[in-house]
Amino acid sequence: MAEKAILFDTSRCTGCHACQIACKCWNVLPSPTRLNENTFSGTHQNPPDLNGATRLIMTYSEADGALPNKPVAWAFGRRSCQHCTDAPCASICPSGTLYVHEESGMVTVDASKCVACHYCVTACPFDVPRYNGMQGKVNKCTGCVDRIEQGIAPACVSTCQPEALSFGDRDEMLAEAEKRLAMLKSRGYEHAVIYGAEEIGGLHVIQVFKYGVEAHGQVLDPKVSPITTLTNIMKPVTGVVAGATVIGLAVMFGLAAGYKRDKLAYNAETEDTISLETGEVIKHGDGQDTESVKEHITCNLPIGKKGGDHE
Amino acid sequence: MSNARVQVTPEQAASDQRFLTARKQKGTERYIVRHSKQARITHDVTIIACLLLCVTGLFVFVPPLTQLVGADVVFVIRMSHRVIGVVFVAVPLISAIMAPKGVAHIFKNLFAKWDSDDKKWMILFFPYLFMAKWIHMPDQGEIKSGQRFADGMLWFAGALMGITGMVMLLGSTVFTLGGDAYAVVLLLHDIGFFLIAVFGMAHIFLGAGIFQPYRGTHKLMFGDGLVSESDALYHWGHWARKELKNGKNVVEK
Amino acid sequence: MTSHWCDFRNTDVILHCGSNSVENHPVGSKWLNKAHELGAKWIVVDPRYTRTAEMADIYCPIRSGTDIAFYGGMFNYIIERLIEPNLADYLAGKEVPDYNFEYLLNYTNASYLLDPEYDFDVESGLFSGFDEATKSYSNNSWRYQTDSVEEWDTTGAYAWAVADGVPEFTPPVVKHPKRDMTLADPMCVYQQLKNHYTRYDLDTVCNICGMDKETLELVYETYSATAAPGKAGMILYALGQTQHTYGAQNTRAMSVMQLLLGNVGVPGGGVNALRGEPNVQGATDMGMLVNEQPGYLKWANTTDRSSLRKWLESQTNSDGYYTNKPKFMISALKEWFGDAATVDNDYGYDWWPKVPSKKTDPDYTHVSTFELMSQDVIKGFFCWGMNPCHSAPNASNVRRAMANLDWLVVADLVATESATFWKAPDMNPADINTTVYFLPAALIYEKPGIVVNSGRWLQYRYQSLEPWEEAKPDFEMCDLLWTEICRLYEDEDGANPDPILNTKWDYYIDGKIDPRTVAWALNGYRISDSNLAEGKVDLLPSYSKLAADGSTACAMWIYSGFWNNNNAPLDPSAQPVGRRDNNDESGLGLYSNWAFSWPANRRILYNRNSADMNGKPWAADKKLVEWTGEKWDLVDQADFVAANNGVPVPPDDKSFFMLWEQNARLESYGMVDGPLPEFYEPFESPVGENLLNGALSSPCMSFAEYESTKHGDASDYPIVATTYSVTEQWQGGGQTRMCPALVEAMPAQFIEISEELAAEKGIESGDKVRVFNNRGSVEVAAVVTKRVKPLQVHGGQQHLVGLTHHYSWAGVFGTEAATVNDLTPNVVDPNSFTPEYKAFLVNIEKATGGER
Repeated sequence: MAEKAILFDTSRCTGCHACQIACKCWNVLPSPTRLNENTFSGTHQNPPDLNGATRLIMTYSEADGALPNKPVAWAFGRRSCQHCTDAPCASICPSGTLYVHEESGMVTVDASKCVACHYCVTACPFDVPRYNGMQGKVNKCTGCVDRIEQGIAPACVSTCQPEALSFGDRDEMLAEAEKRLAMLKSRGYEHAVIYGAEEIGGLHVIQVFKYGVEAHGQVLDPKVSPITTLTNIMKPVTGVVAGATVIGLAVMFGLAAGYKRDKLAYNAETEDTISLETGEVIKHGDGQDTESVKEHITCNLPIGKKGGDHE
Repeated sequence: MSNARVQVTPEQAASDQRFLTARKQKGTERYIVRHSKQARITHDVTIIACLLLCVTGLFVFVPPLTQLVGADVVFVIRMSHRVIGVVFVAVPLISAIMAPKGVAHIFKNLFAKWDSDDKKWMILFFPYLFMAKWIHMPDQGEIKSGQRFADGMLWFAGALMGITGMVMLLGSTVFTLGGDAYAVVLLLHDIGFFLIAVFGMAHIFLGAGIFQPYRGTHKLMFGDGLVSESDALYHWGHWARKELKNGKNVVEK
Repeated sequence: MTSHWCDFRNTDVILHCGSNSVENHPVGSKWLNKAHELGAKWIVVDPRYTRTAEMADIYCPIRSGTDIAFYGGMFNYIIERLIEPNLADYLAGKEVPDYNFEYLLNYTNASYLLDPEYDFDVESGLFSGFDEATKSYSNNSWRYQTDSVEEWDTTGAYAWAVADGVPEFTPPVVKHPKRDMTLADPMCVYQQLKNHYTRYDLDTVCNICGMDKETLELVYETYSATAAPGKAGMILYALGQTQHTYGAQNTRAMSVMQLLLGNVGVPGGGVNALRGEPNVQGATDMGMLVNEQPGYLKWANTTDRSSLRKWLESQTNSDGYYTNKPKFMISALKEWFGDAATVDNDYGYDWWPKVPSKKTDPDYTHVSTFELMSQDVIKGFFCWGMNPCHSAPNASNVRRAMANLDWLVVADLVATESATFWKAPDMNPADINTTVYFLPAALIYEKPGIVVNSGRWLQYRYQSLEPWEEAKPDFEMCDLLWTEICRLYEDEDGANPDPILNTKWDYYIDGKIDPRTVAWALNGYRISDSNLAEGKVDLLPSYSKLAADGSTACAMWIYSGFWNNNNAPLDPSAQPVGRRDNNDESGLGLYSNWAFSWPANRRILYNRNSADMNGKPWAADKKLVEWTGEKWDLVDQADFVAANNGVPVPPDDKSFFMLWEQNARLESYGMVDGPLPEFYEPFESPVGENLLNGALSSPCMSFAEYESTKHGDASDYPIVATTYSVTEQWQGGGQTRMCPALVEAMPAQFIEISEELAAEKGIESGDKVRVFNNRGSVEVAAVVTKRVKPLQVHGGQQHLVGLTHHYSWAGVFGTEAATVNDLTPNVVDPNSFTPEYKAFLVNIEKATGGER
């Protein structure tokens, strides 16, 4: 199987919500069912964002129109996993829940492995994974690899009547995107742009935006967060330093093996500290040490000295 | 302490001789009270919680471990991590509320000014770890300079872990922490773990007396809280002399 | 639709007016994308910037209820810019590339001379023939001048009309109209049209409708470019055009526009009503109306159709295909009454109830039905698959009317607002004595049957699930009711038994009611070789074989041919209706082997008009029919006489053969409220005068006199309101409110408000807004949007708002909400009796809380 991609072409998208609903139906994701349980966002965008039971939402943004005969730019967006090639969620996931499906390149989910660590939630440059508190699992688009493996397109794609969504080999989707872009430019959409060719190593959702990236609710020039990079670095660093510490401590332990010292006592009357083994006074009073650091290190060294290992 | 013998006056020598004889006749050893019972219980519970947290935390922190045991076991481990985390945070807080003076004492010591012995000790500490047989360390007050540094790091890391842990616990239950905020908190939690791992191991190595010269120190926290006169003079010379002279915290047995 | 969904792709310009098809017909609208990508221009004219507008190239705003001003401006533009400058050239034989004069002159009635008495008075806003007392027109002066007359040849072509078994009637006389092919005669339709619409200049239209002049001119220019021979433009409309007190005139206006541009009968053209999923097309075809029985034949009435003879004489066309109407009618009666229908008893015609049809008679159309309930005339009500307490105009009035009933039967999928009308927030159950019966109905997937889409395609649907618990398909409920009624009549006798007991009811297979036998009846069969009760049928190949002598039975002549395979009469997949071959041999997306398109599997109606007077297609690459010199080469089924008894008929100008004159009507005497579409302000108008004539609102509008309509003035209610649907929910919501994912995607009913009006009223998105007029007050959520903008009307700023209407109190799931149709006026179009949902007045304020 060649590398696959979903193509989202906003020039055909009518914002009908069918992809959002097909996603919920195919993946058996619940919606609120009680009377009056849903709240209304005040726009067409409902629910207003992804949540633990919603992996894909349509977004709607309104701006003043840029074209002479279109007074409004009503930009429809499709907010869901972008299936990055260098998926930071998959690289940070400790449990193997999120992983790149090798045949297709989609970043899929094995929720049974999820340990709810939230690392993926923190790592996603698109703020996509959501924690489902009820299940204690992370929830995000699986790329419908269950369908892809059976030779059918993801549920959102299959349901899309205006054919704004299509699915196929990634290079073909990119080529189609170029055609769609040229068509949009010819219709006067000068801010039209392709998204997903290079971002985060190349996305497996290629998008053609009528009104530019941000108008359609996407992140302009997405980057893996430096915090995610640091977090990823912290693991090996901790491992190496902890390992070095263990080794160091072992060496110390070995070198100090057989160490003996004289038992001491203190005669408060004379302020003498006395070795009980020898009866000798080894310190008088409680003054500050007067020897240099070098002397401390060298004075007892067995080499070239009178020796003695009496302490 | 140099191994050079100290010259004393005959009067002093005679006094020392009497002192030694009396000591022998009595047949008892002198000990200094170092840690109260509450301090020991607080420390020990927290230490055990900390160790358990480290172990349980590893099952999320180390991917192969996570995958080895599977999600269900990790779920149980994660839930216990949360419960133990609450203990780890709550016990020191309760103890601190019960004994505010003790807290003040600890922090006064932590931030006490370093004298020349303190500085020299710190410089000599790393050579000492590898050359304990040869290097004699300068006398120290109640808390060694290096010990103060290490304790400080553990206090800091512990507090960091407690706070970040609580934020994550509440952020995934009571409220929803945004991805970016979660990322920062998680990174801090990881940094806290790094510090605890390094300083905690060193602390155990020395504090539990695994290191030969420190043998016996485990009793300070996990025993009766008493330090023998000899050990006290070796580790905390200035403090030991003050206490022995003062006598108030000295017990003989 | 005169064309069909897949034909969208053949168009050069798409014009949406009164339709938001991308929202409400999301599946079929993919064909618009195909056209767009092939280079078609796309125009949307709508009060709001809709989902469809977002797809289009040009958006033109319009004040709700001013469509005819817009269309009139278009006619004027076409006449001024395309016809007048080129007419002389064309008549002189010169090539005119921008306008299709051949179409206008030969295929429309532009050249017909009107009665000298024909007139329109701008001062009064009235056409000739108006009777002030009855507020109605006599159409005598709207007819043509007669050139010559011709009688039916009952010894030749019309011998069937006097054959044995055919009821006696006087055949009509063909009155060949006078024509002036130079279009110069002042009484010719073209000259009258031209004079009529000179008032509709760009400035006046903009002042009425509220768009700016540049945009309007661009729309006219872009769309009228389809007047060039070989170019096609299609108008797509839906309830935004029909649900007005002048909805039928809107449809007329669209037809006139398409005829002036030569866009009817060509691929990618047509007048395209987009019907809804609830089988609106099927319901219309099947005659679920007071005035028409199945197949667009009129019911018996108390005046010009009070006997079969009168029916035949008033309904049979003098020329064209509808000369065959007696065959359709007698065949229908034979299916109604079977063996009991004989020529001696006028085939049982008199057993039919007669629709009251004098101006003073009670009116049994939709809106008026509830008025009759209020007056205690109607005491029992079968409410079958509709939900008037939610979706009828002035719905609170409907609820109060229903409280006067003795009994109410509701057959529906769920307990709708109508099934629980006494539970409405404004009703007091203690005061209501109506006995309510609820018949749980099977959902579409729980029963087999046939649906018809807007493109007139009949498609068979198989049952996929068993009905839920006691729910039953409608035809089973009908059968149980009918059987029991007949049993009671037989056992206990009753009033007027003949119509009941003589009705034929034999649609059983193995003792069980079955839609396949109904399909036989709809298709038609030869009676002599059939016995439906025994499962024996001799199906007719098409309606051309129907007879007026009682030898054939057919309940639905227009569908005839959809179920005509005698080899497997019980197998839907072996019938034309069950065809599933999606190969497109036409290359034009006709898909002639997919299902069956009535009539006669014709995919594009009036397709003779796709070719010129010599039978050559206007667009060589879009050939539907072509005269080869010897015969017609037919890509689509001919919608004209292509051959007579096997002999090819050479091309002539009879391109609309369903009309007696066989040319399309720019001017039509068939409308009750005027022969040409004339602009009148809506029932409730925000302005005090009509800038185009002296009548403010339509003089023929029906039911405005009802006390319950409670007309509101602009001084109290200055904001123009309209209503519409969203794609996530469907109509009254009975089904979609049960789908959690749909409710989640669109959980509320809302009002769309411009940023300007919101600022004026201190309203923000998500706020509750109280919307009110004389009829009702509802609270809905606010959507403050750039997609609605105030318009410049009569020189001032005019605010518009729009409301959705999917929720109400009866939802078990979803969201409880006020009933938006409490606001809409119960006034109707006098032709179609369709209510005004799309233009009325309200005022709004930020809700103070309390009631939802």
